[in-house]
Amino acid sequence: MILTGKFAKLRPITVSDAQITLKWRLSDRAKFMQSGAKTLKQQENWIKNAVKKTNEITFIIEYCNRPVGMIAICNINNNYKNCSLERLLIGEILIVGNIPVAFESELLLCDYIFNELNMHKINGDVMEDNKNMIEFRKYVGYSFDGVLRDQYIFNGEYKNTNLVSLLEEEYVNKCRPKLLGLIRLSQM
Amino acid sequence: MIKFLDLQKQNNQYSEELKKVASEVIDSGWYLLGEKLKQFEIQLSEYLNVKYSIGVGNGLDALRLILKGYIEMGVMKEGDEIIVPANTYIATILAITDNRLKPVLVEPDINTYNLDISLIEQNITSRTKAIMVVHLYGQICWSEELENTAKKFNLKIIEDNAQAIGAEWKEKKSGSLGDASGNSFYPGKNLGALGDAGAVTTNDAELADIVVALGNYGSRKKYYNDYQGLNSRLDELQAAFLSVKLKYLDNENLIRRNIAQYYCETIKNDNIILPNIDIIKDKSHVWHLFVVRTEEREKILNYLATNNIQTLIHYPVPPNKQKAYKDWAASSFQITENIHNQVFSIPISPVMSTEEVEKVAEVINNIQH
Repeated sequence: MILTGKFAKLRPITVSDAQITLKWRLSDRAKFMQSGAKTLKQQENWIKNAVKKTNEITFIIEYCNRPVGMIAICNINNNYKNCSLERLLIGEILIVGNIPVAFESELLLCDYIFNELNMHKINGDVMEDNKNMIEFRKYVGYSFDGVLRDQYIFNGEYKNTNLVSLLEEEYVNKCRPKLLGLIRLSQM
Repeated sequence: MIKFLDLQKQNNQYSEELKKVASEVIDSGWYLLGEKLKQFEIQLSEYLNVKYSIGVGNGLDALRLILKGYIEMGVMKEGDEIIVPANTYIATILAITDNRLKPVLVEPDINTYNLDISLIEQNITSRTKAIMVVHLYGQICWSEELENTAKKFNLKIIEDNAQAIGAEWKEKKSGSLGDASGNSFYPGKNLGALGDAGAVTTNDAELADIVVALGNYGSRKKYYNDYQGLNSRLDELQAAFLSVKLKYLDNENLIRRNIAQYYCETIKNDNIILPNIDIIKDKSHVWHLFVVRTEEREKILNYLATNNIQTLIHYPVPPNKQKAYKDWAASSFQITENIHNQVFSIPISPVMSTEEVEKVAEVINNIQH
């Protein structure tokens, strides 16, 4: 399945994306993501396993038909109608610059989650040091539901993570208009 | 090797769509003046917000046909003068002399490499009929002063928009600013066909009507010729390719802008003069080329070549020093000649990888005095 916007095109990840996604995962920009593959082989294996899973979809974000980042829907739970939005990473930041690819990817994916997958809620967690993402989630209207203490080890230290969530009505009434506003603003 | 221009990579991005429309044209059995051309002309008019777009054979023909059209309309006649920047690609000049009009070369502004608008008025005579501005390297050459001068002396403004499609001046696009515009879709352009292609764009119904006929042997009705025209038509295949690629033009131009911004922020070498423009705020440049200046061109080009970075010079010889115009050999345009002696272009394209862009900047920064 392919989701297409004005700037971003989202397509499912394939093993042929291993090299570029590994480069992104090993870059400083991925420092707040959970640790993952360190070698090409490991990344290929991770992708092979990821595409088999029935409760998650990892997307490659393309801009002008070239891969520039990734994003995933994980933990899809059809019984309770919730899932989580994870692994948002723009790897080619020099190429993307201020082009609102990340905002639009989030918009496309949220539309898909609520309109096509018929979910009720999106969950997420943001590590306490990831200040920009915390501010972004607050701005677009995510609820901060609590803290998981000492959930991750980052730079040799235990770190808390913030649990966040977004209900469908919150998305429609607040988050979606804000994302559209951010996309518009980026084009000025 | 970091290529200056990688057309294969550029078109591979859209190869599925390009092959699909190529098949449609092949299967249609209709290869000239058909639906694909009509469709592209409508799309281009919508994109530029102009009333008329006429597909022609190439960018040079677009300019030739505009001038020929104005001659047929009685707006200008043989021997009339056209003001034009002295540091343009030869096609601009060829279009003028081909029509037996006289190019009046005017020095550029050293900061933009575009026509110095403040010098126009002093070059106007009773025979001046038009100003042909060239949006060189992708940067719009336009101002209110230009508009006022043209109005004051009743001159047409013709845009040579071969390099700047997508650039904006006060939310109007290049190609829609003047009385008429010649656009080029040469494969290396920001909107590039897979062969030669061009278009005339204008809001002038009479000019558009004449240009359509002029590009088709001067004929409105088959075998009946109203003018001594040319054969210069945008074929169905190229029109179909351009329709595909036009959809991506703005997004590709944004990548060019991001690369230009990176170069401007990262390249720090006292021997290199970078473009002088606020890239974030100013949408008047679409970075068809990223042109820098140096007094040590040969040394720097050799250094870049040994580091596997291709460069080009746009352009090594100014029009007034070309053999084709030997009558002008004694003329001197100091700013123009300095520019031609000092400029070179480094790779910039929407298919460059992050690593390639970073390497170009790094290598330039490592050049020793």
